[in-house]
Amino acid sequence: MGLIDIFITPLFWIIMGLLYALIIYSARYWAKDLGLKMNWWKWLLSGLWFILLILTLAGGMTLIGENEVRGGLYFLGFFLIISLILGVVLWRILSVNRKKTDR
Amino acid sequence: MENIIGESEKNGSVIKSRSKTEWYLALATLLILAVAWWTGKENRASTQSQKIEAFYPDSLYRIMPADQNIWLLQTQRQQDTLFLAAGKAKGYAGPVKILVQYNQELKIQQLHIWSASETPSYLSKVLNQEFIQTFKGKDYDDGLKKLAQTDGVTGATTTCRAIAKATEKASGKIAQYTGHPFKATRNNIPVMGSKEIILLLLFTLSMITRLPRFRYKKQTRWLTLAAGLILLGFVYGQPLTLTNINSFLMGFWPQWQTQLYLYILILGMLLILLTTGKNPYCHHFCPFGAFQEVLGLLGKARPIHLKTRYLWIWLQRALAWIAVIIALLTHNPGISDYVVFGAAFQFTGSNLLFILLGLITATSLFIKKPWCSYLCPIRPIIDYIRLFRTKTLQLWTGRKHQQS
Amino acid sequence: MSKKPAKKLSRRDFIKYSGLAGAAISLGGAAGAGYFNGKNKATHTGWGKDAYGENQFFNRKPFEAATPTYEKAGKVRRIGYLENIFKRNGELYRLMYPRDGSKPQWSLDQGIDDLPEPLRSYYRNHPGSLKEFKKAIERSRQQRKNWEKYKDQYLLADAWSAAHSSPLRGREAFPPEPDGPPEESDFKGINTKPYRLKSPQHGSRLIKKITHTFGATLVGIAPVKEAWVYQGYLRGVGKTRFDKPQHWKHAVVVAIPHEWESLYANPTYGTSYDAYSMLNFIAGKLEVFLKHIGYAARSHVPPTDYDIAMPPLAIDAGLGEQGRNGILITPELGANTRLAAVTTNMPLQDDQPIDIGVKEFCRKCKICAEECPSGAISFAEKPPAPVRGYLRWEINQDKCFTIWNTVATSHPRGCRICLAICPYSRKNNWIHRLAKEIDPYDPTGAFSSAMLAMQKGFFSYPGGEAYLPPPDGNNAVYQDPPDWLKMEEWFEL
Repeated sequence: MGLIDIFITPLFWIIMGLLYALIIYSARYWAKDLGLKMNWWKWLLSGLWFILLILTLAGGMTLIGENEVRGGLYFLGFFLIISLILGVVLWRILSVNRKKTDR
Repeated sequence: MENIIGESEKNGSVIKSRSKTEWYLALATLLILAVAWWTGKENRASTQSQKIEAFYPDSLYRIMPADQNIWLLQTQRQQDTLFLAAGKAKGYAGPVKILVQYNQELKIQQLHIWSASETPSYLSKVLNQEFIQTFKGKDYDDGLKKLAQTDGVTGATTTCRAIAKATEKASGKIAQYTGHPFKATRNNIPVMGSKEIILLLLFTLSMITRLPRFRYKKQTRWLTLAAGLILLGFVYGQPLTLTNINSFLMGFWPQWQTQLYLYILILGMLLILLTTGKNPYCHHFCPFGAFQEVLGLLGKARPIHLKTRYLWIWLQRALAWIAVIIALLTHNPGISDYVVFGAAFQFTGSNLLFILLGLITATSLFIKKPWCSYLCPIRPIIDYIRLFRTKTLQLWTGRKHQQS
Repeated sequence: MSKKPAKKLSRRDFIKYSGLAGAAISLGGAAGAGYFNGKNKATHTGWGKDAYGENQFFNRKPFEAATPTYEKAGKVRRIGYLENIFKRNGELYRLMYPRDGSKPQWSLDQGIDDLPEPLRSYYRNHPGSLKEFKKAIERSRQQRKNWEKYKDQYLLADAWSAAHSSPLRGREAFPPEPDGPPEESDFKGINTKPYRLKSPQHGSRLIKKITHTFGATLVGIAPVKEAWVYQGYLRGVGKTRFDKPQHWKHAVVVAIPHEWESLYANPTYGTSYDAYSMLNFIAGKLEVFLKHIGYAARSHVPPTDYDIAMPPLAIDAGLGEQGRNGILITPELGANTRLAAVTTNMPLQDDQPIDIGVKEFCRKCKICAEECPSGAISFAEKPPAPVRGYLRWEINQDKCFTIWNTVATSHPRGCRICLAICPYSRKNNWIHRLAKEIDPYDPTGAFSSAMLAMQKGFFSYPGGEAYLPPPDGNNAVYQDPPDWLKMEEWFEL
């Protein structure tokens, strides 16, 4: 179980925190370049969607780690599809009045 | 935006252009289907007699036939003679035959499923939930009527009721044989429930919207689609599946009194198809079609125009054809049903079906109605029937022209 | 048309693309962390851990109820000792195979009428029971024959079980059997000059801490209700009718789980004796401890050395509630809860019973009923009839015992499938903790219905008969056994 212990070390969580900071920082640039008109609740929805994705992956993989492989795979399959559908809906919401830039 | 394939009265040219080869192919298919049907029937009869030995092996039991569908059973250890009786009742996809073991006092000791054509995953659901256990220890006439009216296992009600009814029939036989009193349940009065009424409404509405001067085509269509999705799909869980069509082909016609819905569905479709050439189900209220359309709305799905369109149409037809042949050969309407409806609406099905469902759900967001266009067996079957109708009309009007 | 300038990686693009990469990596990290969390053995509550285990205790305070969640429904009476299957089977065995070698007083070919009282009355009132006993005996013969075949697969599990059961056998077993009436036996060796406790609360807190150090996972204090005491047989005295002894004031109820990884591979790889032997030591030590500080004490321990029924006592102690399979379900351990108790006259403060929604959950779930190979667990929505004055679940003990005699173990030593597959019997990681903590707060039951829909939709179970040996099944288990019980890992077969 050696390699897998990485996930419990404090370093892992520090790196994850840094990554989240990077994601949020870059997201504003993405929004601008894609011509999306963002406001506070659009950011909130996007954040919630990303959290849903994270929870889906973490939850499904936890089940698989617990030796409940079929349960975990179905969990992943079901909630990833839901995430996909919600992601498409989110995109439609975000891209209302979208100005296509050529960057 | 209409689908490119399917509404073939607009695209009749697609069929007419290679009509001669297709026509001969259609006839050949008919012949093969008949052969498969007959073979399947013959096969089934011989395997049944072997089954009773499987339940009661010679080394442990002695079986003596006593009457039609009644046997006497003796074990090595006990001196008691036990009774076996077989009963048959109509299940969801075909007849369900049950072998019941009674003790001397006609208490039910064991139930064996002798033969059943129910879709395997539904059948295993019933077996897993030990529905059969509820019969053990019951007197031959006790509560069987009640059991025949319960819902049994959720989602497999018809199967459970068939098992109960078959048991009741077996009990009737054994009661008669041993001289015990027995009151059978009366034949049910035909049930016209909300299901049947909704279905009739849906058929009617979909035909009304086809009238040329009807002004609310779009809205009505969304209404029928919504009703189809919610009611036919989730609430009743009875979309049109390959199993229904296979059962119909094989002569497994369920009790019309309790399954009026199925009769309306299949006969209604046939009637409208043969008289008007139209297919109201797919376009107006198929639950799974509605499911895909909703997803397509969310994702702005577009139909894709493939250059190899013709290949894909024939692939879809081949798939349907193979599934029907397998069902006929094995005399089991539900065995080859790859339709994902069970997985979608009742979360029952094999792992493969669920994966397929996931893929179709994801694809429906971006491509318009992918299941309907590429995989659904119902489409090709409808096209097939329509071909015969078109041919018949051609011959009829052709003869008329010759006369005039 | 002017050509586009050569693309140089601008600062803006760098940030954008590393943000995207960061998002991908963080998703991978979430997946990996999730997987690790699932695999982590540290989240098995209780087993082998000391009393200081990481947040393994459920906060019961918000759910304390004024009365326990079992419903009173009729006249209450004590449990006749023959209503315990091991007592009545024991009587039958002694009639069939007398210990002193004298002539058998009864045999399987004979009927109910040839039995002595009170067995005769019991079986007259429960005719199916004797039939099932005969079936169990037949099956046990086949089970013994089967063992020759299945030794190759299950010898390690059998050896592990035998190891755990070894301290429980024979006259030298610990704790020692009571000797004489409780008024003597519970006071034997007692310290006659006890100190005064500051208060009953102090007493309770002290005893709980001590019991945890003996190895208990959960400890609760309950008043000893007369209704839970067996009638007709008293250890140390024999067959006799008796009133609850005055000095059985409180019971210290102890709960521990089975070893988790072998639990999920029941019925063939798991055993009851791992928990049983630990409980014997915990309760036995507590009995000695209590006597040493000056209070009367008596252990009630598995497998059959009880004078009191454990689950209702544990419910009174606020450890959990009764589940559909008849046994106690605790929030920490689920159905994987094995019980023992020590009755004492020490002044203690009783704990409050709790209501965490187990009754409502069991009403909807029924997974144990579906998986039980014998069909001994009821499918009814609510318990159909009051049992000795209380509306509660009751399994068919005889059918359960028949399965003990059918599964591919060396001798009948239990099944435990209903313990393993209960949705409450899960690890203590974040997803299950979330579910366990949120569910009791939801008065509508919608949360538990959603969880149950996922449990039944996403997970697959082998199904009743599959757990039996061929031809009925294929010796199925719910999860793969741990490698230290797999013969093929270590031996040449």
